Amino acid sequence: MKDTVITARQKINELRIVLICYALANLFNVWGILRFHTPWKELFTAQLWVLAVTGFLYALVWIARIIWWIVRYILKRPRS
Amino acid sequence: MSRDLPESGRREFLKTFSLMAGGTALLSTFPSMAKLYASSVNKSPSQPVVRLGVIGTGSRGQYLMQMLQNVPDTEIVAVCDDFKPHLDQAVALTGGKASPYSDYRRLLERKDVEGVIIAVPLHLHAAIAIDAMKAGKHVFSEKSMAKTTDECASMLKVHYQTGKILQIGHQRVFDIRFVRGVQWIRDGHIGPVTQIRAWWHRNNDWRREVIPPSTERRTNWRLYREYSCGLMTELASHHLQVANWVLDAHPVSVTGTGSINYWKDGREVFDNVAVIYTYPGGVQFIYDSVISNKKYGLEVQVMGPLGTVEMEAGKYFLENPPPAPGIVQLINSIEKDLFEVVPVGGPSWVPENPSEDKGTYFINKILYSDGSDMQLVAFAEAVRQNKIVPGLAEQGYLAGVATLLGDEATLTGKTIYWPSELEVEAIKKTAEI
Repeated sequence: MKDTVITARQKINELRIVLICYALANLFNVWGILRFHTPWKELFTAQLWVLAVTGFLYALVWIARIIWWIVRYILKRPRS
Repeated sequence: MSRDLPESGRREFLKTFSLMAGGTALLSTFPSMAKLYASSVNKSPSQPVVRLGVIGTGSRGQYLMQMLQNVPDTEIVAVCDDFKPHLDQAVALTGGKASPYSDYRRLLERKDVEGVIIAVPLHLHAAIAIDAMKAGKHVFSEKSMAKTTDECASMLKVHYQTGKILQIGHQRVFDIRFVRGVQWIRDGHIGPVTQIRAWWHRNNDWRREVIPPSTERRTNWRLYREYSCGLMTELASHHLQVANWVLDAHPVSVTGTGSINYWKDGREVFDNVAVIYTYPGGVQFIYDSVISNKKYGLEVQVMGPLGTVEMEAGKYFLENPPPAPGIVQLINSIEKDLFEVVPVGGPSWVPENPSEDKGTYFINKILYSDGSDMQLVAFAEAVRQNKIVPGLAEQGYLAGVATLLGDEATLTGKTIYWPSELEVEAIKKTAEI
């Protein structure tokens, strides 16, 4: 098995994606607070849920990537 | 005997008692409990030992004796039973230290016995308790109080006349789940109590092994009218005490029914009963008991417009629980929109299904005590201090009378009203004459 190299650029890129997911999850939390008229303290007290949504969004990003890789592989496959 | 392990027992007692004192229901209902607790905490190591006698050493009597072994600074110095095998077992339980008696009157003659634990069949409670109090002994008697309402009244009267402690074995008064439950209700969390529903279901014939056959009636005394009122006195009395405690009142009237519909084995008491008690203000206490199905076990549900308390489970349920965080509601809403099946012709009404709320426990602690040990601790402490806990004898009395009126209702099919001569104040007056 060969060594895999994750570059600094890739790491920063992944971190950016996670932070965007986290920001979106917080916006989702704000939407919930506004829609259901719950207390603003939930911006802090519901952080466990926010983290769970962050994980869910990041998982969606990976699913999208995997689908893209598969499609790209099929399209670039040399035709016999 | 309990001198062998006073410190561990004492620590457990103080821990449990302080948990109970955390809720003030017990202390507000029985203010002297606070004094008992305070003196127990502050007592000196050289506290005098309370010397007790146990009258009736069958299964319940021996169970209480085992509990007493964990009560600090108590000693069982005498045991009494007219059934020799039980008497021998009881003496053995004390390591041979207790003196055996076959006649309880001889035991009562002993000057060193300060209090007695009575665990005999129901029909004997009154005579022994009255003799004991008249002999200057403090009395702890198993529930239910007595076999007839007249006997209950006589016991309470002698308690007032002699000034001796009379405690009936309703251990739920000393069960932290019930103490916290009563506190919760009195704090108004469920609003005014509008109904109490209780049941006690078992699935067995309620028989004990009979050796030799000639002892059938005395061994299985719970099944015969001469000695017992069956499910009402043996089980319902506990939950009636709780209802009285919660509502701080006794029932005004009771109606009910009962029958033998499964255990047709020669027993004389009902194997199923259903009674409805009406309390002041029109609050109903609905109770039933069967011994042919145990799916629902036992429970006391106290209901009000804002919530429900399940006393046996030690849980409360709010009618309108606080809403979930907005983000959770949003997730649920999206999930519902995506996955819920929308019927073409929807129902014209929403089914009134039971709430799926799992409830909240009053205490986050594993309980090893149902109050049986604490009631003996409290009794021993009251004897040591020679102090009556105000209201405790009356709890036993009111539960005992309510139980017997319910039994009368099941037998006659009539609505039975609480007689004025059985009011506590009326008994007090007759005691003063």
